[in-house]
Amino acid sequence: MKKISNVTKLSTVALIVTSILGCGSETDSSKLAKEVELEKLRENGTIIETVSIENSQVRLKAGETHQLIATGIDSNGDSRDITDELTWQTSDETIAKISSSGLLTALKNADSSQGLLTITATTINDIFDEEEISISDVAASSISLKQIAPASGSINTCMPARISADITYADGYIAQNSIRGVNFSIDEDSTARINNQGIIYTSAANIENTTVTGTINNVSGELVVTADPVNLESLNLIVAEETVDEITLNVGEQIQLAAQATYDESVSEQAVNINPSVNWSVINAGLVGLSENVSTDEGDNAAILALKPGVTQLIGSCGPKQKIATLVIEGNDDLNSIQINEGNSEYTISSSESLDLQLTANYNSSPQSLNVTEFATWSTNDSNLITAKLINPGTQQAAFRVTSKANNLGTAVITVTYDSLVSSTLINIE
Amino acid sequence: MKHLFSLLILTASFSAQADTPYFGVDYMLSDIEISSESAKPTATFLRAGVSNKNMAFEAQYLVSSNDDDIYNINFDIDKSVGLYFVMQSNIVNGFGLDVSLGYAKTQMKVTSTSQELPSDYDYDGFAWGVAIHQEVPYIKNTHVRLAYQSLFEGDDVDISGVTLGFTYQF
Repeated sequence: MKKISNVTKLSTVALIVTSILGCGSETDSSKLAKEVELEKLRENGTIIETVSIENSQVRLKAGETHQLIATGIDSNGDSRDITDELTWQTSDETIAKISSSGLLTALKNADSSQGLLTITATTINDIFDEEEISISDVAASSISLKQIAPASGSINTCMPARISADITYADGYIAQNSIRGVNFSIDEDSTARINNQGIIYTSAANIENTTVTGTINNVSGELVVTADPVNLESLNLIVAEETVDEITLNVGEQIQLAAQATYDESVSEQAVNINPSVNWSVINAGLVGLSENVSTDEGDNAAILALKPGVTQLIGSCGPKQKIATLVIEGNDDLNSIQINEGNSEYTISSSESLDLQLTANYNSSPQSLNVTEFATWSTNDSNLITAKLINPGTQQAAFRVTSKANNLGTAVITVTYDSLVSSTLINIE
Repeated sequence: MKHLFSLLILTASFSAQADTPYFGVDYMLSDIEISSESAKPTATFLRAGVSNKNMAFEAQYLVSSNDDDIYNINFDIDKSVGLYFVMQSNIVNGFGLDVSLGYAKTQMKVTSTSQELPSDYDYDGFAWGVAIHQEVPYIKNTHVRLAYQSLFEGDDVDISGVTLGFTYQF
């Protein structure tokens, strides 16, 4: 009977506690929370006094997204990215919605003139900026390229420069400083490179003119950019964020390389990162493996892997300048064998399937094994069956990715040579 | 308020069979969290309850001892009252563990230079706590008690605290 009584009590208690869980009331504290946030900003001197939306002059089509960016100037006079600190709104949420982090999604094309829609970004202290964005499927009619950084004159060789575009659409809307949807290319005679963000990397030893072409919807525009090395003073080799003249590595050790350039004070008082513009080479290429344009969180870097003991020189060059560093490699390279993946004599893949092959060098002493995939010579007997490319260069995950071509069946022989040792494997495509 | 009545009625029904009333006093280092900032006013907790077969009903009353600031805004837990259903572990070597679930009404006072900001805030709702206690040697029926107490978890404000004190069982 006592047990039944306790069960009843517990059930009653459970019912009441459950009812309490869903109930409650509170004084609206949102103003208090906002005031605390404001006090924090005031105390730190970081309360925003002006705000500006940076990149609203673009045209989107229904279904496209665009990340808006806002910059604010605080009471200390410092400028910072405040995109995530704002309340974002659009004038018509049926046309476009916008997230708290400024990501705009066009839901449908606007019926208004030129598809214009107002975007408002408001700070916690009610400072705001309003800009117009266009959401329409009316096509571009002309494109005009221009230099953004530097805004005019020659660009400095090796220093990344920014190209942008003013795009005029058939309905008269002009998207200013917009690279959205623009494909950039440069003339074949130039040593420069450009990416889809409009960043141009130059490295010619002398003054070089490069014709940049921007294309959108079959409409093209051109801009001639002149790279001048006159202000380039020196190059520095950077390893682990330090300027170095000599690098000592053990066999099997891999490091990232980076370079900075110093320019005449009229150009920049600080050294400039120029990694993508630098051409790297090693005097005795057998001692180290050099990987250029390795993608890292900090951008494109180069990497070297110590393969054999000895002393050599690493050269970084850009424009007319060179930086030569002594490279000392210590340890042993008592190479025993090489092995593709687990050492299987054959692998089987389906049509249009990929297989990653890694070549491991096995040593009699430390390091016991090393991924030397990207420093070996790979070949295949039948390029009609497979295509191949190197992935993850400059890392210990480097691999030779073999992909079978669609509808072609058969067997391909993959042969790899490293340090006079040869290994091969069969790829059956079924 | 109706929830407090519900708990009072249930408390009364338990009291009919209650065999161990108790009383406690705790010092509370409270934590008012708002906008990722925190104020830590202190308070005194008075507790009274009756326990019966590893269950108890407990009334708590909190009075402010000291206030605290977040930047230029002053925070003080003015007072808090609550009723809790307490699930008690068996006492092993004088040591026990309690988990309490209940309802608390908490009043907070805020002082700032802003004219638009109200000074009085009420937070009523589900509250809970977990406590460990150890019998004090040579002092009969007395336990030293360490607890974490959550008084309110809301949209903008969380109020909680750590308490340390004594419980005496009659």
